[in-house]
Amino acid sequence: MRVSYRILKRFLPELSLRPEEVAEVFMNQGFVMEEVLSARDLFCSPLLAGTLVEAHREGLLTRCTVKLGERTFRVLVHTSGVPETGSRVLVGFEDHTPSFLPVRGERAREILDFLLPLPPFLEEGDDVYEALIGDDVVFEVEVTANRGDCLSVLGLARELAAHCDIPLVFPEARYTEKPIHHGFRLENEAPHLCPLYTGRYVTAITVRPSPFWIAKELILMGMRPINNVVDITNLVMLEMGQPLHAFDAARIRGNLVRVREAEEGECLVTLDGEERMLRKGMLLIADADRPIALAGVMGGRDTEVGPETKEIFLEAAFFDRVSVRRTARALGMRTEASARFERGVDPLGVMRAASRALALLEEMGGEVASGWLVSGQPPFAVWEISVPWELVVQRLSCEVPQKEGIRILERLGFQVAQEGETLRVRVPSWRPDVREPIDVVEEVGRVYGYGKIRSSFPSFPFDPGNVPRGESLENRIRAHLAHRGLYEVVTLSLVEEESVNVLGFGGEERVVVLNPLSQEHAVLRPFLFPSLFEVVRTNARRGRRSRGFFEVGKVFFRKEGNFREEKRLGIILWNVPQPALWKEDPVDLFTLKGFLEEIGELAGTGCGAVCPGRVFPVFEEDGAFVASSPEGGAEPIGWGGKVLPAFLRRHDVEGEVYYLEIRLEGLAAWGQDLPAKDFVLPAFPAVSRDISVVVDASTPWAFVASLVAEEAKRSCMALEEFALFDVFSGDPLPPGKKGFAFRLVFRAPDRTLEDEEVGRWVQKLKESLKQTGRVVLREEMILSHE
Amino acid sequence: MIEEIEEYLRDFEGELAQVLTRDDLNRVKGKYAGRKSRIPLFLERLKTLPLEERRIVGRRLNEVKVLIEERLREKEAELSRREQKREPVDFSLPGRRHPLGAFHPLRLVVDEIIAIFRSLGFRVEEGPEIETELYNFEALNIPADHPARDAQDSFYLGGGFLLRTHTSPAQIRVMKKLTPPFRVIVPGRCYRRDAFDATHSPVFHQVEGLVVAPGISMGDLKGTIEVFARRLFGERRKVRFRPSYFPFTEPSAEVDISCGICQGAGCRSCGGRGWLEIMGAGLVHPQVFRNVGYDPEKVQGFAFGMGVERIAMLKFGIPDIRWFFENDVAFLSAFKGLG
Repeated sequence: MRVSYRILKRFLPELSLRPEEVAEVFMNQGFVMEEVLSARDLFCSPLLAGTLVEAHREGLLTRCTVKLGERTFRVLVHTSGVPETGSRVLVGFEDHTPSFLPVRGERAREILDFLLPLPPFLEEGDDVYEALIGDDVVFEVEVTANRGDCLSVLGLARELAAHCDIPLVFPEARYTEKPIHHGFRLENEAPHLCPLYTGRYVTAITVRPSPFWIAKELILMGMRPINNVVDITNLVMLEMGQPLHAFDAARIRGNLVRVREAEEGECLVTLDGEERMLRKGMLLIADADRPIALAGVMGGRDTEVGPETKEIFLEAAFFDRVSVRRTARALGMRTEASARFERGVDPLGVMRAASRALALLEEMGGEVASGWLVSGQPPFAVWEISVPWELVVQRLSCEVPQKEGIRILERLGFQVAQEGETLRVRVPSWRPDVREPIDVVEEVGRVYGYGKIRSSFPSFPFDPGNVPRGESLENRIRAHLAHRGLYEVVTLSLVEEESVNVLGFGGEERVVVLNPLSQEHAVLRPFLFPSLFEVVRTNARRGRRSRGFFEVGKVFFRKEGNFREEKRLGIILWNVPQPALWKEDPVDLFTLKGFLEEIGELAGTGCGAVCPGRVFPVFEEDGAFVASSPEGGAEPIGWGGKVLPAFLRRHDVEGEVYYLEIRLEGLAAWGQDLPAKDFVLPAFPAVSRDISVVVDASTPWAFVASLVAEEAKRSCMALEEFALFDVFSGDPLPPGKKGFAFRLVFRAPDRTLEDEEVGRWVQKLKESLKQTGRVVLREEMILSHE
Repeated sequence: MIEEIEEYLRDFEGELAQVLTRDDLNRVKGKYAGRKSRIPLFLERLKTLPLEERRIVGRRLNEVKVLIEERLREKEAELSRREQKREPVDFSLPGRRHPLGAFHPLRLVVDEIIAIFRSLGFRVEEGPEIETELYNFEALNIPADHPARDAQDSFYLGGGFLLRTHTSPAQIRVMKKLTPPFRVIVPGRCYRRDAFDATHSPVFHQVEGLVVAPGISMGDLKGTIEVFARRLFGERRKVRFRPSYFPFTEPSAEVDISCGICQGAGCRSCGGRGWLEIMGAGLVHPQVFRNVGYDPEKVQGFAFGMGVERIAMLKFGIPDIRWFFENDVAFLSAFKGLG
């Protein structure tokens, strides 16, 4: 809502705050000040008084000559917009070119709608800005959704009245009624959507430009002047918050105004020239034959007030807020009127606003026919709230004096009766948002000032603040990865459909947004891969380099018809050939597996078996793996692989990309807190022995490792640990063979091991390896060569 | 005589400790070890002693002589080591190390917010990102067709589900799960059907707070937020409450902190306002309590919700919200060493 200081002052003659203080008060009472402008920013400059010296009427258009000192201008104006010859008219300049319009930034037109008449006391050449606008200040105030009443000068002025404790003056709303017969009838067929509809008939209308003060106030409040009748309805809407509509009464067929729901497929050309296809149930105003207005949203073009209009039907109504909102949204329209009806207008203010408009119309020469056409009742019931004063003081944490509170409420329009320490508060008709004692508390607090709230701290016992295992594990993993040189990223969880297609993720399991903003963000990611790959792409495009990225985030899918969300860890490694500044470790599939193992250790259990397996079609066939849970669950704990070079080329990414995704929630379930046990530090020396074996190239290390582990256990060897230290192939091994070299470390808890005993164990291990028929000892193999 | 020898050794040790240069050393050497030292004199005097005493003193004298020669050699070696080592180690060369990565600024901010509230006795809960319309709106006193929904245009998934437009539905979940009194924060991701620009993103993050206990007041809210804001932004920052409107709080407030650059006077960085908005807050609306089966006569509460992106932008001076989600290494590397 836009309002100016001087317009506010028209409602608050005793206002003594300066404009900047007014802005501050609005802010402190809950109205965000979006902008404070000088009125000068809205008007053309300079704005001068000229004289209309000649007017040649040529049908609908009139050739006018405007004199301004030595200069004369010839302009073509719509005949209805031409004031009397000899009157002062406004000449605005835009970039030194006369535009004849007051508003800044309007393009000069070949045919003007009107020449704006000025009061006769101005001399030709007078600066209109200085004389009639002065140093006014415009406030652009944001009104919250609960305060429909403040989409009006009246509402905002009332806020100031409460702050300053000064009276609020209503604008003039008196007129004389004349016994004029018009024969108009009203039919309300939808009282549930329109509880109150009123109409007035006004004749002897002459449509012309508005007087300057009305045009000026409309411009200050962000609307454009059109003609006196339309301007009056708009000005009263801005003043009182009640939208009004004037129909050209001569164009209403059958002297009948009907309020009814639309039939499917009915059409109406609205004031903006758009043809609107109506849907069943939309509320409209019709005459005997056809729709003539979209109730509460916009009037129809055919019954619009124009130059020929001599008589009008003035509508003032209370339309159901939900109905107006739905209609406006369905048609993609948001008008000044719909914005006000949506938030609720004052049910008791409907006829008062109409009266204000009638008074102004009468000033312009209109004659008001006696009698209201009324259908229905104002939808208003008295609402009283009992508020113990203690509640106000306690909830606000400040000692508001009760007298002060009552004064504030009364200035806001509440009626207050005091019953001991309790107030009985009667809510005014324009405040349907105030329903409970706490709402009254807020009203008092708002005006008294949130700045006076005394700070305290809720003093009940503290929660122990336990950090769940999942969270601490997540944080330790994040720290580990960041310290290992990866950048943490945060990406959008909405991705493109295609990026999910390439992962071969089924349509049924996807979670698709029904009303996406763009195709780029249409599906909720079922894996982190699309998001993380996009990060690599962005950085590749910008010529950046990095070792890799990781993200902890949610993925989404449907399972058995239900939505599921799961927390995942994604790691993407990016191996770019680049001039090295230092010697970095190579990045390959085993770097990825290394991360998996480290994370397993952080989870406290190590990691489960890792087997070849390709989950994403974008991974290389033989360069992908699936990791199972160390606790043997059916669901894998993660999967990884090397991204296909062809896929990288398609997305202009250089180098190699490796990807690993881990189900973090599964991981958090692993391992528990360290159980208390008796620690024993090794007291006797260890003995180590190396074994070197040769196997078929297809035999995995796990085959040898599990044999060693089993045999050591079966034979009760004091094998403390064993570790692979080399994998070798090629000369002198024959093709199709490879070798493993590993170290065994033996240690007994209670004695120093004898060489002989260890020798027996090693021999036993060697024997059992050989027995499988798939393992040959390296020393024996070389012997057979030689 | 044996005392004299011991004293001679002590004097020697004292003077040797003072030696810094080769000249010093030669002087000490001449005084205590050469022909002009007192050693020959001691030897002369030795002859005059009775046989028994002569053996004891003689042995000691010899020991002292050997010791002095040894100490002099050591000192000489030390001096020549010092002379030879002309080139110091160049410690300006880079160390052998792993390059560091960094945490994302949004996670840094969330981690810090969590840490502050944990220290104030809050527990941390989570809620789902796929929510029901019921929890996201109706239970929070935002009925269908209410103008308050305009600001929260949603992504719908069908079947009454949507992507939550704020973390506030977690208030409902928390109240159904816990029994008052409690203090909770809920960090999380939210979605609104807003096109990307410098200050809007369809995906963003919030931290919700909820405290429920008998007698909670606006003062409790203000006190808690003041402690939080000063810890996060610095002790010099002022906190201001402005009335506002949220359907699920009453009274409602917007919370501002004073601009870190001008301290409230108004400058270019804060658009001349002097204050920066950091969150929405208020006392829990009685209707919200009724919706979860609490008696608003018996318990009260306060709630707040803050935008993580906005706070991170203020804290780090980031001008464009899109930077968070582009993850340009040039941006991310600026946060090395934080967290």
